[in-house]
Order: sequence, then structure tokens, then C-alpha cells
Amino acid sequence: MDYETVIGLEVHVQLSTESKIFSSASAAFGGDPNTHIDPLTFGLPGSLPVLNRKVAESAILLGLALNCEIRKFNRFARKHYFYPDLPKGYQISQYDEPICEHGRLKISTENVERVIGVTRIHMEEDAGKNIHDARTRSSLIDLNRAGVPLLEVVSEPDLRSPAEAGSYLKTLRQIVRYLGISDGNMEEGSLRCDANISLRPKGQLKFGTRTEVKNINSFKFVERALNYEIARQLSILKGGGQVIQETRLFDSANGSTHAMRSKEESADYRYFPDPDLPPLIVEESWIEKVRAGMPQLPEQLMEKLHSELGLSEYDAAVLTSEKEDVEYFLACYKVCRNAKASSNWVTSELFGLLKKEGLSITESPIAAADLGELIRLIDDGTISGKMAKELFEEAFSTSRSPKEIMEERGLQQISDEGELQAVIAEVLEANPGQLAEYLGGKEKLKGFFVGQIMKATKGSANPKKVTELLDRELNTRKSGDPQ
Amino acid sequence: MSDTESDAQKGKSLSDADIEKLATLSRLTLEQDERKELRTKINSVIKYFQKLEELDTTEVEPLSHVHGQQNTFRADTCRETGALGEAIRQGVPDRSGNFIKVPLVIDQ
Amino acid sequence: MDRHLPLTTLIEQLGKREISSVELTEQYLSSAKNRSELGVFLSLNEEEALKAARQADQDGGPSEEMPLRGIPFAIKDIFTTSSGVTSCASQFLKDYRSPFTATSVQRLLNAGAFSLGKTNLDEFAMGSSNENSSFFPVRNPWDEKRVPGGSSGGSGAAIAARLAPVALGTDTGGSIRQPASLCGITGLKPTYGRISRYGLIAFASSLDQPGPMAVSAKDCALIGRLMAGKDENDSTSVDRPVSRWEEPLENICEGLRIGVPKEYFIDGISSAVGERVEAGIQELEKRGAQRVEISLPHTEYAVATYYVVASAEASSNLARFDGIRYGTRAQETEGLMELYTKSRSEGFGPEVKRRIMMGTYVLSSGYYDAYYLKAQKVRTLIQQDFQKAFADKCDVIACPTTPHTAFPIGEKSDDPLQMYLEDIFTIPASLAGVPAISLPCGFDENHLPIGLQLIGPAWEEHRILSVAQAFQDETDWHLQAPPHTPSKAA
Repeated sequence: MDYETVIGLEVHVQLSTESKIFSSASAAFGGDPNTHIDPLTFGLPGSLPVLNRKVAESAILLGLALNCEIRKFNRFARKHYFYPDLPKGYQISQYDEPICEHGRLKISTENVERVIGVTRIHMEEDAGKNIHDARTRSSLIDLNRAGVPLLEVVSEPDLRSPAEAGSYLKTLRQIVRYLGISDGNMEEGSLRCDANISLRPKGQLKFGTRTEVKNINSFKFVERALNYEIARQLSILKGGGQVIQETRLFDSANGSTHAMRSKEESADYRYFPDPDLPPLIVEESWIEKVRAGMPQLPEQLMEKLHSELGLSEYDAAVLTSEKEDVEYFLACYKVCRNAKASSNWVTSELFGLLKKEGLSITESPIAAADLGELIRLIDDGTISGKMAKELFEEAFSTSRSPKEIMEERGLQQISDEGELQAVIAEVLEANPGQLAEYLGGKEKLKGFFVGQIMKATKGSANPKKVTELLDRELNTRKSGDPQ
Repeated sequence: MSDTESDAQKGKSLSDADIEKLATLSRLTLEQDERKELRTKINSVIKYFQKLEELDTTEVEPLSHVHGQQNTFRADTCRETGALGEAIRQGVPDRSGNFIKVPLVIDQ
Repeated sequence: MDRHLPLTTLIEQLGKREISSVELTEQYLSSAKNRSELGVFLSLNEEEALKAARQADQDGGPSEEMPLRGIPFAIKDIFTTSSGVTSCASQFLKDYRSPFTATSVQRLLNAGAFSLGKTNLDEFAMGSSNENSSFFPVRNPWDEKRVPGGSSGGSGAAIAARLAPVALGTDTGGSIRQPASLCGITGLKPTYGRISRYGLIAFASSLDQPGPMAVSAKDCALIGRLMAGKDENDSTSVDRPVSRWEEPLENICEGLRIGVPKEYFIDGISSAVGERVEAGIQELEKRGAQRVEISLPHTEYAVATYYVVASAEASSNLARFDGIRYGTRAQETEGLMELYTKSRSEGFGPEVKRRIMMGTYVLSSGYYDAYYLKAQKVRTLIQQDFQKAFADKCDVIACPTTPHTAFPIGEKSDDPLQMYLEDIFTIPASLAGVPAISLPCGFDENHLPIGLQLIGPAWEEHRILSVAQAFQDETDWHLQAPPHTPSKAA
């Protein structure tokens, strides 16, 4: 019996706002414990929530990017449970009226495109952090993260392989970074993923029993965790057993999942609309305003790079992988108008040096415009490709513009015909013997002349131009024209 | 918002076990006599709630903000905490440095 | 006979230097100590109050920018204050120091007033007799064997016994108006959203409102409008202009249509209450008002609606009390679960526990639709009753505040039908979010005070306060003080 994998992902996107979702305490990552706090963060009696407008806008932005329907009448709900990292004894979230629904996300896995359904996106607040100190048999709680805004994105169970799940996650991450609403950093926790996974016999419509996998805190663990779980479930099913519906934690040390100690009874969250927060009404006009201000998305930019600028799909994909990369590319292109060259220089030369030095593209010592200028200097013949590479490397290590270095050293290629012809004439006159031999048929002596010309110009003659003019001159002499 | 339940469940008196469940859900412990008294009182009030069933509210909107308030926002600015933060931390009954200390939480 | 001096008179006297703030403050502080058996204060702010009084005298007393300079006031111990303890009359918060002050209180401090101390209440505002304080009960200054009402019993008794010129209370289902009625003073519940709830320890978020309790309607008007106005820290506070409520609208009673709800005139109201309220309405008719019989048809559902909504919201609001970040944490607990249950069980009194359990039940899985959702729909109907009455039939509504006068301590009934009767007049206005004021209108055969309630449309505090001021121009019930009160300030 062949089984099919069914995966749905619940992704929590931590927003990169200045302040928390319902209070003006800092939402910054890290910090000394319990310093990004205020009365609401601690759930002090008498404290009240006030919605951060930017969070609602971020939700609308993401909803538009994922082709969702944006809900007009929104409310927040209280979700009750007792836990030390939940200061009010309830989490403010959205329950049956999420701000976005019925969206979709296009993913590409090994060049196969699929559209994955997005069930819903809703706003909620994050909880604090517990650190377990087994030695003292206590837990230490830090509420810096409590109240930081989250968008929970739930996908339809449309994913059919761990690779697709990885693709989905990667694309979602790319989008939130393009929108500028989140860092999308799994290691830092600004992108968190829980997976629901089940198997069913191929062709069966009914879903099999699913398990929830948590604690996947890096991109590289996503596929590992899911592959493990598939293998585990498969062996149960093939052995005639039943998969138990449960929550399992991924253990990155050995790549396996194990069941969480089961709770006595399923949680009763006692949801009801939060009476401290009036309804949030999202009018069409607001949606249009957000749409108008939306940055271009990776898919659009990739298309533009490919169809308008003529880059290959592959190159376009590489460049649009990160927003900062494509922005750099476009700024470079703006100056030199040579898409292919810009793409090559950025993806091989620049990326190479940046990687070596451990720098991000925003930290590049060479500005995009300066690289654009360098390419232009090659294109108009001022310097050779070889020279450009040297200038590039020097500019990178000294943080100076390549053009500046070139001018300072007088490294411009000599392309001026008059100037070059003078040098050619000199060289030919200085080497009458070789000239005679060439004219007598020893064609490969041309290389010798080129060498001499380059020597005479200290390497700065434009080799293409030299060849062109030398050919012309030698042909003239060959045909017997007088000197 | 939750599962619909049968009419038989609604308005039925709570048993001792029900009270126990409610107490756990509320993180409360009750003495024997407290439990008895509570059970009687809650059951009489629950019976009283059935009165609301007399009204047909199918066409009625539930109240959100009583005066129709909507869209109250704040700007995304961060307010410095400083002394306020220190005062808040001072109130923690058991600390370890800046951390709040509680008995070990098993199985997060 | 002893008589009250309204706050507005005191302000005048302060302004004319006929008395000093220090004299006033010393008098209140010594009265508070002499009448400690009343159980009014949970904490006295003695040193700081005297310091503030001295400063106020130096700075010259009340002015246009500081209309309350030199005035001490009492604060129901449910408002957070950054100095001193805020206990909510609960063991849980008996040592709790809030790092911030409630907005409504801060506005009065900004106007130059200062705190005399925090008054007793039913624990977490749950109760209507002030017998549910975890410390000690409050006694009615008119008869110390009787209750002052609740939950703002301490504040009500403080005014009645002349231990403060004005006291802050909170009203969720009647907790300002009912004690005002039982203590023979004036108390205002504003429109929901009028006064900020920031710093008001929450009981039922969609119902709670801070409000003033004082000798006269004019006093309440002044304090109320100084507290009122949009607060960016409270999402439910509404941005509406606040007029000078203490300046009554002229000739307000002429042609005023007073709605008298037929559903409010039921068996079970004591005859004295019936008579005095009727006389009160007649008093207004003498000044040109006309009574109109109206119907508020959903009145009989109000109490059930209130108990569902209030207990649900209360159980949720009290989930934060676990002793982990603040408050009293239970000692010697084995593990986290015990920490929660022991702290909460030791910290909360029996009435609070009851309401938490009730609220948990109402919200628990399977019951949300039947209870909370249903109640919020019925609430819409109740609100519509008021809106229709005010749109078509009347300008204000008049009725008793309570069906009886103060009952003896320990005698409060647990019979739901009795409960219903006690709260039926105050709860509907809370559910509808409309403003209401209770003012004294006479006494019963035991010389216990009776309250007349005036209810207005949303945002019409000025109107009901003007009617109340007109009533108090013609009558002097509100100036009558119980015996044993200290003689008036020289």
C-alpha cells in the first residue's frame, strides 16, 4: 500500500515593531530579563490593552501578499490558561473572527510549482520565556517577550512532502522580509513553525490521524523532523497499528520526535470577546491605502528581472532571494544599464567577497552605484575586465570607490586611436627584424607585437583596440602601402 | 464560539464532580463545607439563568462596546520604562536577579 | 441637628480663607480615628495628607487652574495609587504597592486635591453590603448594626459620617448608587466610557465605571467632570467633550418629562421607599416637570443578564492573580499547580471564589452560546428599551435606588429572588451604559435613608445632575447627617 503525506503548517511570525501589540513597552529582541516591561506586560491590576495600529497594518499587508480576504469586523478574544509565562492568565488573540482568511501562497519545489492554501491569519500576543533550572528545581521567567506582536499563519493541509514544507516556509519567510514586517529569523524565534502531519493511503480522501510536531527551531530541522515523523508513522501503519493523535517535540540532537507527556484533559480555553478592546473595523479604504503602499513582492520582481531585464529564471531567483540583494542589484543596474553584468558581478564577485569577510550585503564596502559605475567603465572601454577585477578587490578592501582608485593611479585603459597608433608605429619601428619576418609570413609574431605594445603602455592599452588597430596597420603594410 | 450542547446539558444541576472540575479550571481548592455551599448556590443561580431562554434573540446582535466604540489605536512608539520597570520588578515575591522565580515547570 | 457641609461650600470657604486646608485635614483624620469602629478606612495617608495640606495653604487654596487645591478626598481601595497600598480589601493584595496611579485619581491630584486614605469595600467590588471585605465590615453611620451597602460601602459611610468631603467609588451593577442610597448621600455613576478605567482594578470590564460620592449633586458634578474625559490608556474610554456639570442647566424642570417605568413598581418595595420616592417625583412636578408612565419591557431579564456577564468577565479578570509576579504568594508549595491553587484559595474570600467559579462555568466549553453570548444579546434589548424610552417618551427616568433601606449586618439573604429585588433598580442602567445618580429623598420609620434614582440617556450627565441640583435646591435631605457626627468645622 502506498501512502501519501499530508502536511499543514502553523507559522508564528513575530513582528518587528518598536513596541508591543497592546502596550508601549519595547518589542526588541533580547535585553536584560524583565526590562522590556510595563504594567500590562506584568498583568498588573488596573492595566489595560491599547492596540498598536502598526500590528493591524502588518496583518493587512501580509493578508494582501497572501491573497487573503480581509475581514471587516474584527474582535479580539481572550484565551484562558494558567502558565507562568502568561501574565494575565489569558492570551489576547483572535478566535473565530481572524483578520485574514482564504488566501494562497505559490511555492516552487525543485522547479515544480504548486499553490498552497492559507486558511487564516490572525493577530495575537506572544508569551514570555521560561528557563528551567533543574539544579534549584525552579523555573526562571522573563517577560520581555510577553506581549510582543505575532501573526499566526495557518496553512491548509495542502503540502505533500517535507521538501514542500521547507519551500513554503522559505517563501513565507521571504515575503515577510520583503514586506519589512518581520526578520523571519527562525534561530532568534521571529519565525516559528509547528507542523501537523499525517499519512493516508494514496487515493483516499479522508485524512489519516495527524500528529503535531513542535520545537522545530531552524530551517534545516524542518525537513529532518518531518522525514522522521513520516518514517515513524509509516512503520506504525505498515505494522497494522494506529497512529495516536498527540503532540510531539522534535529533538534536534538526534533528529527524532518524542511525545509530550500527555495532559490530563484537553484544554478548555473559555474564549470570549475581550471587553477591554473595542472592535477593529477594516474599511475598504484602509485596505486600498495599504495595498498602494505595499512593496513589490519577490514573485513580481523575479518576473520583472526575467522578462524585462532578460535575466535567466535562475539568476532572477538568486537575486530576489533576499530583498536587500535585489535592491543592490537594481541600484547597480540603474547606473550601468547592463543587467547581465550586474547580475554576474553581484552574485559571483560580490557575494564571494562578502561571504569570505562574513559581511551582509548591506554592509558591503562597495556601494551599488559604485559597482554600476565600474561596469560602465568596462562597457565603454575605459578599463579592461581584468583591470576591473583588480580595482574591485582593492575597492572592497579599502572601502573606496573603484573609479576613484582608477583615476588616482591613472589606470584607465588607453583606447584613443591616435595615441595607440603612435605606440604601434613606434613598436614596429623599434623591431624592424620581427616586422620583416611577419610580413614574410610568420603570423604568430603578432603576439610579440601585442606584447611589446602592452609593455610600452605599461599594460594599460585596451587590448581589443590594440588588436584592431595592429591588424589594420599590419594589413596596410602587407599590402604594400607605403609607411 | 464553542460546541453547541444539548438542551439537556444546559441548566442541569452541577454534581460534586462538576464542581471539582470547575475548581481545577479556576485553580481553586475548596474545603468540604465550601464545596457544598458553593454547589447549592451555583445551582440555584444556574436555574435562574434559564430565564434568558424565554427571549427570542435570533435577530439580535450581541453587544460589543456598549456605545459602539471602534478602532481605538496607539502609534507604534516605545515608552521608556526606567524607574517604573524597577518598581514593577521590586514587587515580585520571589526573584533570582531580574528573573521571576517559580517552582520548576514540568513539560512546557 | 448635625448637618453636612457640601464640598462646594468647603471650596468656597477655603478660597475665602475662612478655613485652612490643614484644619480641614486634621479634622477628617481625627474623625477617622475616632470612628474607627465604622471600618471605613483601610489605610490613612496621614503624613502625606498633612504635608499636602500645608503646601496647599501656602499656595493659596483653590484657583481656576487648581479648583481642588487644599481638598482632601477618600479613595475606594480599588483604585491604584502609587503611594501606599492598594488592597481591594483582599488578602491577595494586602501588601500590594502599585507602581502607577489610576488616571481618574491622577486627574483629581492634578486639580490640587490629595488623598486622605483608602476606603474599605467588598473584596474586588463583589458584594452589596461591604460584608465581603477580607479585613472587617463597614458599618452604616445611621445605624451601626446595619450595612452601609456595597461594594463602595467605605466611601458611602465616609461621606455620611463626615470623614471626608468627597470619596471615590466604582459602580458595576449599583455599587455607588446603592451605598449612596443606604447612607443618605449622593452618588453618580457616569455613562460607560466617560471616566477612564485605567488603574481601576477590573471586576466586569464592560460595566465598571468610577464615580464620585459626596454630600450634594453639585459636589458630584464638579468631581465627576474633573475625572471625566478620554484617556489614551483606556481603549474603552470615549472621546466626548465634558461640559461644566456643576453649573446646572437653567429651568431644567420646566416641561421635563419624567419617565416612571411600570416594571419598577413591584411588590416587595417597602412602603416607606414607595412613599418617599413618590414624594420626590412630586417635588419635581411642583417645579414644572411632568410624569409619564413608560415601559422598559426587558427589565425582568436584567439581573440574570448581569450575573452572567459580570461573573464571566470577573472570572477572567481575576485569572491574573496567582502570586507569581505580585501580591501574596503561598508559601511551602510543592510544584506549580499547588502554587496557583494555594495562592488563589488563600488570597480570595468565599464570595470572590463563588463568582470566579460561576464565571468559569458560564464561559466553559459548550456554554458560551447559551450564557455569555445570549446575555450579550439580551443586553442589547435592555439597552434598546432605554434608547426607545428616551427617544420617544421621556427626558429622565425616576425610580427608587433600592427597594429597602439598610438591612442588618449578617442578615443578607441568599435567596435568588431576594437578590433580584435588591439589585433590580440599579442593574439595568449599568447594562445599558447610561448615567444614573442616587440622591437622598427621605427616611423610613427607623430614620434610615432612602434614595431616589435619576437615570438619563447616554452622555447626559449634565441633564441628570441639573435635575438633581434643582431637587436639592428645594429639599434638604442631602444635608441631614446621622447623629454622632462631629460638629461642623469652625
